[in-house]
Amino acid sequence: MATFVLVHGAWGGAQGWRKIRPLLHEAGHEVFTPSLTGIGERSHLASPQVTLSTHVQDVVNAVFYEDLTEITLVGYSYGGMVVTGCLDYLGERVKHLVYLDAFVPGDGQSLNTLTGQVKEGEPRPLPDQNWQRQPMPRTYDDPADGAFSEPRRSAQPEGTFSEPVRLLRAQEDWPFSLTYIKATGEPRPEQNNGGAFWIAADRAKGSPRWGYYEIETNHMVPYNKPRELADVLIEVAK
Amino acid sequence: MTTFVLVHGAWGGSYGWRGFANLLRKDGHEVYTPSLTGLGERSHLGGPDVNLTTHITDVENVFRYEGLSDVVLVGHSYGGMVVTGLADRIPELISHLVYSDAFLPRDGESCFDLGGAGGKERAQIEDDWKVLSAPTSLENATVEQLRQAGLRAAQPLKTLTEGVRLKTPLEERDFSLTYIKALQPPRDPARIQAFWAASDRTRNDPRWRYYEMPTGHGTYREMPERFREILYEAAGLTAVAAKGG
Repeated sequence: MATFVLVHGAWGGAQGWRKIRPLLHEAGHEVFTPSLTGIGERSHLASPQVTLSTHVQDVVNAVFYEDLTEITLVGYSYGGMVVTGCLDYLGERVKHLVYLDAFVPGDGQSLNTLTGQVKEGEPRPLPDQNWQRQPMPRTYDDPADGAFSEPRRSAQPEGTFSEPVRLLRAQEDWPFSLTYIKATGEPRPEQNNGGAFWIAADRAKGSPRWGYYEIETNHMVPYNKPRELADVLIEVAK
Repeated sequence: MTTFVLVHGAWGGSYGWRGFANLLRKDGHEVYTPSLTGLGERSHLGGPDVNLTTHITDVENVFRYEGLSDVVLVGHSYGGMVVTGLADRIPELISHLVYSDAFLPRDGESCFDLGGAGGKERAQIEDDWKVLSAPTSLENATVEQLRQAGLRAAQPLKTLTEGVRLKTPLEERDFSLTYIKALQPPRDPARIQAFWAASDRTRNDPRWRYYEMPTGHGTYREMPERFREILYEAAGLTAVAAKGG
């Protein structure tokens, strides 16, 4: 039996894993899908004070309160920022680290620097009255999934995008396995920094330290290709 | 497959339900065990503004964001305050409402009104909002019980002082009603009366199913299989269906 901790993406919530949870349960695994503060089912707790650190603590606490060990820790999209920030606290408890079409930051990088919205080393703008960022619209293979998912995507506090991640020990220097899963239905964007997921995928693909998988669909992998994704996760956790 | 939402008690967290939730999942059911804001894994979000409404919204949002309906909703201990609030807000999504040695408030009553945490006069409060848990006996405790004792977070004061809104009495709703009373410790005028009062209110009322457990307050941890059997009976699941066959 493996223990999965699945961390959702920006504007999302635990509900984004609704097709994955039963597949992992059926295979006999234990699954935790913490909802991050200020979005999804926790959107009533939104405030300008919610930052990346809050989300890191959301996940770190889920792991420590449940006393989970030998985890397969999965970060999806923005969730890659969160799982990276967790490593300083619980790297010893991770057996497999998986980035699913996700940001793979290094120490000191924020989502905004990875997407080129802010240059590294520049001061972070202080949050103003626009302390929430509205969700990007997404497309789904099955319109029923879109009808379920889109109304549930909620604005996300800016502090989660602007705060740099802390990572004392780089991902490659830990003993756990590293895996990148790329959604190949997403086009490579023209802008230099817009392709954070492709840059991370290329890096993983060319490195013996990383496992690399591709799933042919757009960014919404957990909705569009649940069986394929669950199969990859189960294989990684073996 | 049936959907269960299990709501933990004061000072607790979802970790208390882990073993029991896995027992239900083995039978093929879907189980949600949200941690209430300020408690358990959510203890970093505690504060003087967290109130009973926050906790009711915590659980209501699980229903709404996961798209749940036809739910077996279980409140343990203080969780009875929370599920009572939900009975008023989202009655159409609940099929079976179960109180596990829990507070059973009437409209406007707070947990303090019912003597929770010793009531307003005797509660131990730090920093004007942190209500401390009474020390529990750790004699003969297992390593895991000791670990969990260390996780008990302060309960935000306003979760205990805010009265619940229950404009339509539970008995007038369409969902089934079940009360489970833990028999230990026995009735004692020096101890909290709320769970015994709830037992007296529900025991002979045909609108309620009533069960007794020969256990202490942590009844679903002490006798998980019997507790599961009661939930299945309350939810009208036959033994065969309950086993997923």
